[in-house]
Amino acid sequence: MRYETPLPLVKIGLRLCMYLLLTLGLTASLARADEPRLVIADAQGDWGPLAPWLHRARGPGYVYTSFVFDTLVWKDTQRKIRPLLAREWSSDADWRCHHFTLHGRARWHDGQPLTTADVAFTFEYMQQHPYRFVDLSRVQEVHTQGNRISICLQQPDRLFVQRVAASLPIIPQHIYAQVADPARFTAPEALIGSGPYRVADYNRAQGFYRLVRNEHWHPGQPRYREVVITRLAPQAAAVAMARNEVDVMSISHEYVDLFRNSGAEILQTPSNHPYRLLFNHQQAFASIRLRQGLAHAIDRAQLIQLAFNGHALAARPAYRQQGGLAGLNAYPSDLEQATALLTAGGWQQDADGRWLDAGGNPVELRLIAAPGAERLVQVLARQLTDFGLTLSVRLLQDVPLTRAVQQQQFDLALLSQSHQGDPDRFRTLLTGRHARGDQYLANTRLLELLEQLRYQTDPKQREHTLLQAERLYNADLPSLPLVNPLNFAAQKPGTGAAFTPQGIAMGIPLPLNKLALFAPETAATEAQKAP
Amino acid sequence: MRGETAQTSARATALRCLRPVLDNLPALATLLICSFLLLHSLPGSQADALLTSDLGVAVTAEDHTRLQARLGLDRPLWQQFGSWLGGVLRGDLGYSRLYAAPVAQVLADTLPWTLGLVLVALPLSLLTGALPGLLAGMAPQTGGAKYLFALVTLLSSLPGFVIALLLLSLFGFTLGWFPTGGGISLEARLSGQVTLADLIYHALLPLLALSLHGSVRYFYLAWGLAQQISRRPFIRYARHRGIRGAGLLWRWYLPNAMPELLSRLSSSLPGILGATLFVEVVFSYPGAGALMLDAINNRDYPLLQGCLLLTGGIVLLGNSLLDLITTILTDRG
Amino acid sequence: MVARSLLLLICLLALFCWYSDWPQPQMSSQLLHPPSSDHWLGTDALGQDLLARLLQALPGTLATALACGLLPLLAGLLLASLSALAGNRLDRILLKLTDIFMIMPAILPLMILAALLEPGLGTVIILISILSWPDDFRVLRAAIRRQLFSDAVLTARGFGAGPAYLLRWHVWPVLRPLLEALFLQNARRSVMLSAGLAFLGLTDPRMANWGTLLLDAQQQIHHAAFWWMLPGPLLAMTTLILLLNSLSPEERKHQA
Repeated sequence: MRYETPLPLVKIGLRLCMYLLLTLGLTASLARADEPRLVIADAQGDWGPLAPWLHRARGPGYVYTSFVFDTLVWKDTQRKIRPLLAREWSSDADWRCHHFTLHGRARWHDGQPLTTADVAFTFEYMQQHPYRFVDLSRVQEVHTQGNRISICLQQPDRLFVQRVAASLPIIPQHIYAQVADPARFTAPEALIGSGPYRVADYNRAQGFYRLVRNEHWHPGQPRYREVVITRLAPQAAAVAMARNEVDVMSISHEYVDLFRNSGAEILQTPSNHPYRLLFNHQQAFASIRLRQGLAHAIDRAQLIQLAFNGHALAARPAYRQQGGLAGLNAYPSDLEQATALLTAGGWQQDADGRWLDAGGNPVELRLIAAPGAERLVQVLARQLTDFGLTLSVRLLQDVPLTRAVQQQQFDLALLSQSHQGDPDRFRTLLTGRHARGDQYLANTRLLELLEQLRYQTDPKQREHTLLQAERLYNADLPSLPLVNPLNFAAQKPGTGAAFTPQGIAMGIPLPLNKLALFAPETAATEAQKAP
Repeated sequence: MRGETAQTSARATALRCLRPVLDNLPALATLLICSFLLLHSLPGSQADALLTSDLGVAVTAEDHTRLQARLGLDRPLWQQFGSWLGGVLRGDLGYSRLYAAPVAQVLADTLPWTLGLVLVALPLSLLTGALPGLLAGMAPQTGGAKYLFALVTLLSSLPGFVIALLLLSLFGFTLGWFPTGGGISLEARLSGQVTLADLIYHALLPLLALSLHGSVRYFYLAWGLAQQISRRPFIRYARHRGIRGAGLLWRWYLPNAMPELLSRLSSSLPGILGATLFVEVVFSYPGAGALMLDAINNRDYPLLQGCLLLTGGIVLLGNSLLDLITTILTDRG
Repeated sequence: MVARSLLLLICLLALFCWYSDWPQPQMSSQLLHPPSSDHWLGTDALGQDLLARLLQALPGTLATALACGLLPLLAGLLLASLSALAGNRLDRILLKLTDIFMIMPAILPLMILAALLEPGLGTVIILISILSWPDDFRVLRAAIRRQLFSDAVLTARGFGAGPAYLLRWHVWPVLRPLLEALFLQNARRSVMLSAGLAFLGLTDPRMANWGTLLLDAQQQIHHAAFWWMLPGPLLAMTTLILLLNSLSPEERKHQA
């Protein structure tokens, strides 16, 4: 008897294998696209309810709110602008009017469709009730036509799409139209947005958020079914990450080794929030030579080594932290040069090495800073004391620090501000209107250059003007950026968190870019058009 | 006749319990006024706190004055106090701009955690201090009693936060037997189901720290009381009859020492509240301690006033409650 | 005896440190090094020698203990004497005033005032004294009143002695052991309170204080450095408080 050919068996076997492979493949891709949960650990935990006017004023508050509320466009982790609520956009040649076309698929979390009426309403409402993070002061009028919305400004602004459209959360008209005071509107409807996740649970005392997936997110289904943000101390988070309970956390440099030893992947980026030493250029440090002399007396390498354990960069002594030192004075640590300049500025050293001012009295400087800069302040104070100056140091919380700076109750102030994002911030930081700005109005040429910068649209021209302005700032030195700390994050390998160059939206140095974290497969292949 | 005396004694008890409350109400009122004035003399105002941000848009002086007006901070102080007081009497403790929620809600979220610690630590510290104290005081000449006394003296030299720190580092980090912080575990937060076992597990070290810190004064008190009681004749007779050890402690010493011990309970309430603040900070426990620090730093006046009002209220109510319990127990003999 | 000579030794050491400015901890690049022959207690996160930081805080701590032991006592004594002699109204007002202080845990107004004043050494002393005098006042008031009804005082009164004479010769001397006990109790409490304030980060960080050292230790609790950053300030504080304890009259009675 001949055996029946094993062919049917082989066929069945092959078919089974095929099915098996297919199923495996499907589960694998589904497993990637449909993972149960992303757990973000946060040292503070509670950042307020995740709505535009309710979240706390710092970076994480805005970033978590961006999970719930979408913007017109969004910067991805390659700094490219991607479509989000708007499918295409363009700007007029004179950069005064900008046009966006919505793709019309977006819905609010309560099911209502998102239309251009909502976008127009957002602009109008936010001009009446200013939202701290986005400046809409230059918007003149907004026209809608079907799916297209045009926003015209009072003056040309080439960076409108990057500055405003990529950071402005769109709010629902049908909910906020009746709200008179958005800062006191805490009903559950305040949290209805159009983003990839919506808030299901928020526990303030525990510092705990549970966000549930928005199945109808227009770019596609977000990767995780839930996102959980929970308060954990870094030590506890390291243990939890080793046990696969926590996926990602922003950490300070002290815990890098702890997390690395727990098997986490460490990401880093320059924070571009440098610490700068602000001189009181209207009183004690009115002379440029004194300011430059003091700059030469500071040893930045020692500051980085001792205060940050090496985890910081020497700040570029100008506004922007990228770019070389061409044309700028780096003010290297040089005690002889410092002595010469201080002497030229009118001070003298007595027999003990103490510095005396023009009137023969010992120089006594008041140094103020925030408590977060404590170690830096101690090392800096030690350097200046060793150099012969007498210092009195005060660590002030946010509010009294701002007051002291505004009322000039200091001689030296150590401040940290964002130096990325909106390029116009250079002007506001330097010439006033900013709560902790330099308020340096003595150099008229510098003021002219900064005014010109506001209205220039040609990139080459802007670069040239900016560089000139930075050179003047560097020479006059109303403030001196000292160190640019590095920001770190720890994540379980495969989580997909990454820092965005120049920061998320308006410059927030966190690794939680929603397009990178929650990317559905389709978003990666969508074509995008640049203006 | 019996009915009358029962009625009058009930009323007398009620009056006796209300007396501390009524006595202390003027004190509470003065405290509130003083703290209100103090808070408003702190440098910087709430408007500053709300407008400060390292990323935000630049603010002008007009924005600032407008916000001050919206917050009602430009009215004269007595008017602000008056409107706050009026709100409190209506049950509205104000709105915390920092936490974007009504003050009552913010306090209600954190209060159970702090109250839980305080209410359990109070009797616990009494027991952990009084029982060893009585035991040692019964036989003060023995070596064991002397060692115990020295140990407690050592304990009395440690501030509350140091005890908490030692417990945390030893049992939390080194041995890993207990969690290193938080109120409930991560799993409980994720699943939304909080079990009593989990709560107790996280509260154990903080409670231990608080009780150890609070037990010292009861130890000394019980030690002295035991020696006093030992001199009384009926104890000598009991000893002659052969009663010793635990039986002696429970049935003879403890009931006699209880009234004195209980009377000290109410005066230790402010002390325990203060120590709870430090313990919460060390253990990252989600109580009112961190809340108050935050409120002070951000000049959130309504929240701070609410916290002070609440603390004073807790002490007042705690005092009268303890007085009530003491009277009931002493009346029963 | 031993306790007294030890305390004297510590005071001398503190005076020496104060005048000679000797322990000036240098920041070095040896961050968080364990104890070695160069650094007997190891180094902290800025590379400073921990033993030097410990000694640097000694004069301030002793000054706090001394001043905060004395000031509330004097204030309490004065006010208690006045209230015992001057009659009902003043007495009632002062009692009501102390009620306000008794109702609050001391740390709360301390925190608020610390935020207001950003205190250095002198301000901390004033703040703690302000919060300590009500306790002393109450105890002294009760003691003085008891004393004013004693036989000796009543006899002296019968002979026409005035209030000042009574206080000076019949009341205050008898209170001496109580005053000593209160002084030491205040001193102990002030050491713990000032360390607590520094631990919460509410005092000037450049003011050397053992509480700041404990705060630094806590920040390294995940690191082995915790185990050499903790014992120094812990033992120093315990030793000081125990020494103060052993000087009190009841303790001396125990040892006698």
